[in-house]
Amino acid sequence: MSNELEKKENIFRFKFMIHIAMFLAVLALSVVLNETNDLSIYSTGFLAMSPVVPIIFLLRLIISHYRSLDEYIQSVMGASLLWAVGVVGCAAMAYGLLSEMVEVPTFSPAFMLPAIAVIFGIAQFIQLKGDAHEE
Amino acid sequence: MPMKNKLRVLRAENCWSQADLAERLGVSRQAVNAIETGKHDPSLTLAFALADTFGQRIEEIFFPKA
Repeated sequence: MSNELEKKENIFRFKFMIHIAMFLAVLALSVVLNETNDLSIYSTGFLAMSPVVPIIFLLRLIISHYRSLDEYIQSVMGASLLWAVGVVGCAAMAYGLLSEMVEVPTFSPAFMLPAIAVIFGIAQFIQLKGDAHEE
Repeated sequence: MPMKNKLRVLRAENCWSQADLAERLGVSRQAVNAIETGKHDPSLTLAFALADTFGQRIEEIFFPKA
């Protein structure tokens, strides 16, 4: 990776970690405040959903980073996202159809976005594996 | 239309690694590798940048697979 690209990548990684830290901090705060205080249903709901706000800012960061990447990496990321959404979507559909017929353990929709992120990372790794070594 | 190219030959003539070429073009090394191996066809902008870097025309670097 060239020096300039490496610098951009390091800056992105740093900002990414800051956003994740903010998400975890807001999540912890919302749980603590909800558990220790007797709040109205609206306040409880607002606090419960508040960790999504740093995630929205993280999404903006990722989109901005995506736009700065070269065409090949953009193409790989696009294909990886399609795989991630497809796999998680199919799994969700299978789960939904199964739950209509048999008793299944409950599954929180809050895990959908992390599942997409994990599958995205795996798909990107697989696609870039072939380009890892200079021929 | 699948394309072939002689990027590897041109790189070797200039004694450049994929990383060197990537730095000159402002793209990732993976992008250079993908273009060389035919996994990815460059955009017009990148094709012109490659031609400019090697001092050749696009048609002299990229050609359709027979």
